[in-house]
Amino acid sequence: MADSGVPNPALLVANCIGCHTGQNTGINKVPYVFDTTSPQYKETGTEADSNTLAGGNFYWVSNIDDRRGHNIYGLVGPDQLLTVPPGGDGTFSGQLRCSGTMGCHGDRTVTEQISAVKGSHHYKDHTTWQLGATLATSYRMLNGIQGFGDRDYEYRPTDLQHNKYYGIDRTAESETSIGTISSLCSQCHKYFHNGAGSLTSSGTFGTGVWLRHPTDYDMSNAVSSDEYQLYNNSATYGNNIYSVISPLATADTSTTVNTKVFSQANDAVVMCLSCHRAHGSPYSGALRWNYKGWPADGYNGCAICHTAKN
Amino acid sequence: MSQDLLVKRSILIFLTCFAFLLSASSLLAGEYLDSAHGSSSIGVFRPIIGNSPPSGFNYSRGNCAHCHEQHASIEGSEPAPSTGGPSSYELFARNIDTAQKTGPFIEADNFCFYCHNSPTSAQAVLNNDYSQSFGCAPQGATTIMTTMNQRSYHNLYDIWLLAKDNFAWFTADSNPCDACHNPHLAKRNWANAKDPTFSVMSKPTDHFALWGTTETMDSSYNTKYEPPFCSSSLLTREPDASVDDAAGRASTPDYVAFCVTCHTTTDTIFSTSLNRNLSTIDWGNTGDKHGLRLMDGTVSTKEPYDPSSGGTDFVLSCLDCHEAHGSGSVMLMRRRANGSDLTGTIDTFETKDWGLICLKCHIDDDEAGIGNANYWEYVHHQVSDAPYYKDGPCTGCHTRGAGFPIDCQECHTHSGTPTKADTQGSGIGTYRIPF
Repeated sequence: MADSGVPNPALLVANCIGCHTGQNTGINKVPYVFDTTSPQYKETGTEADSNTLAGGNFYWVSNIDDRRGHNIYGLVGPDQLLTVPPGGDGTFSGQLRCSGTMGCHGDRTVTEQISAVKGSHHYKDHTTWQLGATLATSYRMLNGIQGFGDRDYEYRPTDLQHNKYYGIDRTAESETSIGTISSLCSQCHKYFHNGAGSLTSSGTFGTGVWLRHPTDYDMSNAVSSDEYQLYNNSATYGNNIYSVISPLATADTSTTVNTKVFSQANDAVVMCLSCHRAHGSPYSGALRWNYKGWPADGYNGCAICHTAKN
Repeated sequence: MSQDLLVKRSILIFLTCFAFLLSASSLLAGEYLDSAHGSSSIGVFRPIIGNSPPSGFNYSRGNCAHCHEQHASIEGSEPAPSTGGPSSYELFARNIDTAQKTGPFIEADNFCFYCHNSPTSAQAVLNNDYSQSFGCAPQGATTIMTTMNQRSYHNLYDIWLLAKDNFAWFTADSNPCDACHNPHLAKRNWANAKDPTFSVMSKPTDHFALWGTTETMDSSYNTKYEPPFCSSSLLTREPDASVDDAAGRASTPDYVAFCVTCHTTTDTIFSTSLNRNLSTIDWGNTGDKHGLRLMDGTVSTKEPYDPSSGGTDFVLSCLDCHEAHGSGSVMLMRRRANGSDLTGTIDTFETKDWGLICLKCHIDDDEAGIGNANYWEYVHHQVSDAPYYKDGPCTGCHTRGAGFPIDCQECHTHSGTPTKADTQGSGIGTYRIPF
């Protein structure tokens, strides 16, 4: 990391990027979200020989094009395709940063990035459900967001070892569902998550039909066909094993990792991260798999939920 | 062999078989990938989605994005055709305009027309009519929308209305085409016309499965169904010049069971196009003679329905006479039947021109050698067990204005009540059921 010549706050030797750049090996305790060489993502970023984490990696947006991740200041220039976040209501503009008012992590009322995450690294208790009451008790330092993070940040995750994302089963498209992982995304991509006339033809979940892909909605309500009840159907392993390829959120706030969906109420909640990687991926739209290339090539991760569409 | 060894061997055989079944099922191709829309070689392709940059987004053919925009936009804006906002089922345009209750239709009236139309703002898909795809007719209308913009058509608004009220999966936002087709399952039947496993239909009562893959006219009616001739040589059968009758009936889906799902014996279906209720359809043995009702006299039929076929009392498929989508004639009548083209269109409901299709299977005066084509004295008055006297009285039926011949629909309609005093017990001579 080149020395900028400007001292970092809190006597830090580097900024966020400086500490979180590297190649994940499964041994590193600092999660690396940016690699200077091409990470091993494989098809879905979950394979046993992959080395990316739950958020993916900023390598591709930094080195290939703007479509493949969030354009973080310091890693890549402003997005050449988008001037505002898709689905946004216009309140957010400017280049995204890791944290602070222009970022995802930390206190979003604090402008400076490192100051915005103050107190969160050293007061983190990884053994408890992250209630989101403070920044330190927020999931992945995403202020106010609940969840239970995998200690390996989903390095080569399995159905038994993965993040536990928080989601709720909404009944109306106007609900903001504070605390869910998808509600964080909605702070910039609002109308993809909530807002009148944004999600359903009726405004109410359960009646009418979808106008956009739902999030914070439990698939057990989707009874128009049985395809969702066959989530992650596998001739070998049976149905409903938790998929780390297209994961689901849950309303359960225990520290027991959810290994099978439809095993308790509201544990099949669709979220933004069911399809997207928060940081970036090798694929357009920072998708978790090569959706654009399917069916000629690519991978049909959609079929994890849309089991009849394979 | 010891009992213990026998048990172990049995378990091993069971596990081997089970493992084989599991591996076989995991290798099955997906339903969507097998469909016409999901194929990576012939499937859906909206140019702005599938073209390479800069004119498109480079999505694979068959990808969901050609029809569905999960966020009502791609890369921050709505691709063409832009409708200014999100649409039901995340489609790129409005699914159905229910204000458009009758034709002619334009592309924006029905989402399917964005492709099943030409020219089009998405993907121009060519579809010939049933008469051509399955009945050996020459080139006719080339797209579904064009077909439905003819004289008669399966009224989309009426289908939508009926399906919405009768099938739980069908919503007010559903597309009426979906009442008969599941777009995620439907296959390219026309390109594989002799193979019913390439079905394009799903019964509205069983939307999530294809209909007709195993439910054929053969399996339902066996030799009571005689496939019509296809080629003009009268040497091949429908569908698509099948080599013989057995091949034809095995390749023809059971359209009867499919159509009567909606066109029941009892339900009233109002036709907005016709401004009247449709006839009910009874294809059972107490219904129409073209169904399972037994003959009650000579019907003077041509091959392959004449006695030389070795059978009597045949049952017809609805699509032996009707198109599925639309037709240049009234009531979706086909432009070719039983191996030859109709010599004209049937332009009105009250006409003797119905005979243009009747004569494809029934002997008219020309065929009988006593008169002109599409004249029917032979079957009504001359054949040995003719239903009416040869020498009158004439005016019981041929009243002033009724002329010669009488308009067919006066007596012959589905489940109809004849208006002429001509049938059972009328004193004029016939005790026949007229249809």
